Amino acid sequence: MTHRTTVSDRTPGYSLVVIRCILGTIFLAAGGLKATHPSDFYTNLLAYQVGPAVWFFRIVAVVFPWIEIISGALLLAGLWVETIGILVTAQCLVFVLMLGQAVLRGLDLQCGCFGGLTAHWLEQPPVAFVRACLLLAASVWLVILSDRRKGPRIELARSLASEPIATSRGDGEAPRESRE
Amino acid sequence: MRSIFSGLKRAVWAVRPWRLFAVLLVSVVVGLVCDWFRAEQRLVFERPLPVFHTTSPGK
Repeated sequence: MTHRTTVSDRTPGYSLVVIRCILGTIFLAAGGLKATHPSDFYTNLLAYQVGPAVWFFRIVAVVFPWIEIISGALLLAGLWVETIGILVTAQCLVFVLMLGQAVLRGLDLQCGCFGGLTAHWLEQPPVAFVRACLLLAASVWLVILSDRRKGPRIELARSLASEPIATSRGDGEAPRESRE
Repeated sequence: MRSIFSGLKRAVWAVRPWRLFAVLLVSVVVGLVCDWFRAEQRLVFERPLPVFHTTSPGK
């Protein structure tokens, strides 16, 4: 039986847990800080000067921090990772796009990622853009690794469920493999 | 690069819509409830602006 070595085989399982915990902590902290000061977050959102109407940003300022909090908590707990991983990746993609256009347009604003409570230079668009790119890379890695690690287990479970149990015939012969 | 995209594609198909829906629904409900109870700084359920009646100084 041949087995192709993939990246996930070489990557130890704890790296998945470490990425999950780092992302979970960051999202939990960012969401918590934003949820306590939604009006500051709303002001930061308006500074991006992007299309949608004001009422849309009001709803985003109220709801988005809770999406981050719940995503972070579920990542830390290791629950629903296949779904939350994609949700976190989508959030990071939005961060990258918003901050990217702010950097390109040279907007002078505070990113508002942590509710404006971190050091001033950390909230500048170029720094925040690099941070968002790193978060996006980490979330993509998490999604792909967790999907690859899940894959072989599902295949193994399917093959175990479909194959009849190989038994020894009692004449010293090795058990036969019923299927390849 | 190709394996990254194919991995992402598989991961997107592995998403369970009901779980995603549950997370989003809980976020919306909790966010709106918190906004409702934030008396002075409501964003969605804004209180109506105070109405000022001007009267002439002679009256």
